Order: sequence, then structure tokens, then C-alpha cells
Amino acid sequence: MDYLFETKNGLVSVYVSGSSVRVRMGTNSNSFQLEDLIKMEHRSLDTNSLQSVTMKDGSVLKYLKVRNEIFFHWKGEIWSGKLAERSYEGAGQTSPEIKSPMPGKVVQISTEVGKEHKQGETLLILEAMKMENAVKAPYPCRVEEIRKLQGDLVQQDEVLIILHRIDSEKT
Amino acid sequence: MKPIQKILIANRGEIAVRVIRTAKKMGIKTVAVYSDPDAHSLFVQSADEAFSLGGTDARSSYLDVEKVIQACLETGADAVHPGYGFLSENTDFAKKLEKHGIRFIGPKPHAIEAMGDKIGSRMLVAKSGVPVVPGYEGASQEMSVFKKEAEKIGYPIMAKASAGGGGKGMRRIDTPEELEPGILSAKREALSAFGDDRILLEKYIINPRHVEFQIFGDTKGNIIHLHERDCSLQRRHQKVVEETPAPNYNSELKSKMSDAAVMAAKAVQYEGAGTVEFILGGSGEFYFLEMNTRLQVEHPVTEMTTGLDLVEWQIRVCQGESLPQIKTPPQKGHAMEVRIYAEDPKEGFLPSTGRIHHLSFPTRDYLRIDSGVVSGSEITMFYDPMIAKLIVWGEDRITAINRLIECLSETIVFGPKTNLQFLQRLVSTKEFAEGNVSTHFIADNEPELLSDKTKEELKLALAGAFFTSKEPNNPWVKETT
Repeated sequence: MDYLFETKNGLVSVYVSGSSVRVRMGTNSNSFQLEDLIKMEHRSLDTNSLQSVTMKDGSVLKYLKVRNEIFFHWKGEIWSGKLAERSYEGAGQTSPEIKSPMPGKVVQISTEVGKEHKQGETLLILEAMKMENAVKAPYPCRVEEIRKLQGDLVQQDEVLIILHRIDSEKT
Repeated sequence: MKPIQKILIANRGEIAVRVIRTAKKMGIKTVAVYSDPDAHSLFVQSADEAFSLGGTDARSSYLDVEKVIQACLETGADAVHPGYGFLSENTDFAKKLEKHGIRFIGPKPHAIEAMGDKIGSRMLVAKSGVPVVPGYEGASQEMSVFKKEAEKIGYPIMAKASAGGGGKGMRRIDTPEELEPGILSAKREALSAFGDDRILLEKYIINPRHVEFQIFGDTKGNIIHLHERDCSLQRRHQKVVEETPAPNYNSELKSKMSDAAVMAAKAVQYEGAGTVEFILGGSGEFYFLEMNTRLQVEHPVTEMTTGLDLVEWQIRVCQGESLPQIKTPPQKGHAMEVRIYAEDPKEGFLPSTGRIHHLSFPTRDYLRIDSGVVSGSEITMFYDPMIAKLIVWGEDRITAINRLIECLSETIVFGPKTNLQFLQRLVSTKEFAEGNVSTHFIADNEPELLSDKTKEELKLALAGAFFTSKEPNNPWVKETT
């Protein structure tokens, strides 16, 4: 699952796959393995109490989900994560995630991880409504991650590729 | 005098809840008055009767003297408890109630008036021999006069714009050599900031502490003190942590200051609960700041260490009874209070409004929670954003501190941002443990007090992880909309 959280420092993308979580803030990326953090989840059936989790170090983390927001209490600290409104930025976008602009099928991947692209070069081709649409590099970049395979069906706003921006003066 | 039958509480939130609790215990009926946004508040539900004042902001509700008096007449209340803030120090209100034969649970209007005037009250208590901050506020702005007055006051001194405020036109002057340039520079700044270059001089107090005394008087002329409270931890003159007994406070100094506090109260034949506030300097010099003619927010620490109910005392005195004890009762142990606010410390402590999705406190026999909100309550922008006062007791100071830290770390507020974490950091500092803080401590240490233990990346990783985990099958997570 892919989440986009609103934070004071802008949007942050969190990608959860099984027990591994990757957090991208600006150009920094951090990975976490949930089994290194969490010992046991307690499933509470009491609707009035918070959900609680025992962490590896024996501490208890409590949380509550309210619509698009999730609140945490852990070791005396309280924080929340609020999901961002869906953003539909096309050309001129600056975020590292390249998302599917529409539901469709990946018909061709024209790049590979580590490859560098100039602005406007085609990264992949998406077929939708019997039409081919080229998804292009919005800025000079290097491909960090490719999330889809040729032939995959994708929903609107699913992350297809993650890019690392290359500053023009360095190229 | 006939005993009070029905008290109208001209206030809201935690203090209204707290007054209702004591009135109930004494078998007195209670009336809550409320504004539109408060219609479903805890204090409205706690009272025997509730009367709508209408209005949204304070001005159109709790501060509207005519509306509150109308509420008294319509509900047949024979006494009003004003709490703190709002109309608690409004002499016009107290006088009007008197005219209607309704008792005001507080001092007589003349005492409120005399102490409400900051400069007048200092002159008044100074006449009774209570020390006030030495200063010069004369008409002459001659440098030779400033020099002479500064010698009299003693260095360091503070030159302040008479029209001042907000730190503009203020200069600390440590030596006679700095006096002339300091005053001239303060004058220039004052002139451009306020269009008025008059300057006053005041003694500058190094590492000032705020120590106040709880005072109680009755109609028979008895006036006693109920010990001190140290409220040195402040942020922009707002108290953040309060405790009693004061740390590093010897009995000789306490006895001098408590005598001065009682003297100040006697200067206005004080009746009921009041607080005499002092500024205490590093070398034991102390000066009268002001007297608050009402119950204070921090009164619970006094109650926790004396076992008294100050609201009950207020009601008894108002009924014409003598003070239940005419000698200062002993104190047992140590108590501390913190004020939990819906505010964002990382955004300059701006109030944070919205619904409280979840609110829970630990339960301990040494913990007292005074709160006016519950899970589901809304913090609005109309009033003070206080969520609760958390008060702990311990056999000694260090026990109280440890318990306070523990209770704060177990308190959960989901919804608006709060100062909970900031408070934990604050009471966990070495300086606080040593009783070594001045009123400047928070301002001087803000960055460290605002730091987090958990890294931002981890917070977000957990947010993502738990958003996912039960997404399709979580019928048990309650939507508190």
C-alpha cells in the first residue's frame, strides 16, 4: 500500500509492503522492518478503548484511526499522520513518485533502475481506452525503483516509478 | 445570615465543574450558565440546572453582566461563584449582585477595586510596610534625577518606557557608567515605538522566582495564610507549573513573606480567598507584585497538601461563618500542578482547536484531574484552550516530580495538539529537579524543551504500517465523528 501523508515539511510518501515500510521525505529514504519494532498486536474488541501494540522493547504503543488520520501514543509522545488529499499533478510535478494518471495497463517499460533520463524522456507507456500514453520524466532524474511490470493493470494514482532528481548543474 | 441555597456558577469548564463538586457535597443546589458552543459541556451536565446565556464568544456570554444577573433572577440563585477570569474581579458585577440581594462569593467590591489597580495597590500595600519593587516613576526626566534615583534603587536597574510593552524601550543597566547611554537609547526606542519617550526606572531582579501566598479572610477580621505556591515556571507570564512547598525556601524567608502577604490582605480588610504574589530575587529579596482577589487556577496544590477544600471555605465565609481554622494548618508532602493546553508548542504555542477524539488519564490515588472536557468534546477558538489540570502529590518533592512525569507520559489526548510532551520535558530537567529555575527558564531553554525522542521517519513508518494493518477488517475501531 502507498500512502501520502501531509507533514509540516510537505508531503511524505510511505510505502508498505508486507512487513517492510519505506518512508520518503524529500530526497531521503528510510526503510523499516516491522518485525524489528513490533512484538505483538493486541486486538481489542472494545470499541471504546484504543488499539494497542507491544513493541520489541516492551513498551506499549496505542493508536486510534479517525477517518483519514491516525493518532499514536508511545513512550509519552503523541503524534498523528494525516493522509494527504489526492494530488493530480501532471507536468511540472516535483515529487519523486510517478503516478498513473488514469486506470490502465502498463504496455512497455522503457527504462531500468539506475538509468538516468533528461526531462521529457519516456519512462513507460500506459494503455488506456485503447490509446497509448507515454509517461515522461518530469525533470532530470535517475530511476530509483520500478513498481510495476509490463502487463500490470494499474489504478489511477498508483505509484509506477520512483525517481531521484538530478540537479542540473551536476549533470 | 441564612445559609446559601443555590449557587450560580458564572464560569465554564474545569473550574465550573470543580465548584459544582463542592456545592453538591455541601448540599447546595447549582446552576450552570452557558454560551451556545458550551451547550453540551461537562459542566452544564454536572449542574442541577442549566441556563442558556446565548452568544458565542466570552463578551456576548460569560462577560455579559446583565445576562448573568438575569440568569440569577430567573433561576432564583441566592449566590454567585465567579470562578477565575471572566467576572471574578469585576466590581460592577459584584455591586449589582449586592443590590439584588444576591451574594457574591468573593471579597467585598472595595477590596477588588483597591487590588485591581496595579500601581495603586503597590502604593497601598507599601504604606502597610510590604516591600514593593523599588523604582522611580517621577515626572522629571532629567539625567541628574535619573542618576540620583538609580543610586537609591541600586544596580542593576531596568529602564522602561512609561508607555511601554512588548519589551520595546527596555534596557538593563548594570553600572552607573551605562546609565546615560542606556536611558538615551531606551528613550529613542520608546519615542519611535510609542511616540512617547518618558522612561521609568525599576530594580532589575536577577533570576527572579514567582512565589505567592494563599490568603483567607473572614467577616470577623481573621486573616491567615495557607502557605506558599511557587509558580516560577512561566511562559510569557502564563504559569505552566505550580507547586507547594516552594523548593529551596527556608523557613525564615517563608515567615517574612507570609507576614507580608497577610499584611497586604489586611490593608484592604480582605474577606474570602485571595492570593498575594511576590517576585523573589536570588539573594532572598522579595517584592509585592499584585494581589488576585479570587480563587486561583493553581489552588489544588494547596488543597492537596493541607487537605482543605478552598471552595468550601469560600462558601462558608460568604455565609458569614468564621474561618474553619484561625491558624495556618500544617502542610503534608509536596504537590505539583501542570496545565494541559490544546496548543502546538512547535508552532509558537498557538491554540489548537478541534474535536478531542480520545482523552484518558492514568488513575492513581495521588493524582487529581480537574477537567472540563471528555472524549468527544470540542476545543473551540472562543475560550481558553485548557484541557485539564493535572495535580500530583508525593511524600517529598522528588517523589512528586517522578509521579508527575509518569502521569504525564500516560496521559493521552488524540485530536488537538497539546503541550503534554513539552511539560514532560520541562519537569524532567535537572534544573527543575534541583529547584533551580527562574521565570526566564522556559524562554531560555525552548529548543531543548521542544525536542522529540521518536524520529519523524519512524513516526510516519508506523502511521503507514497501522493504516494498512486492519484496513479491510476493522469493525472495532470506532469512528468518533
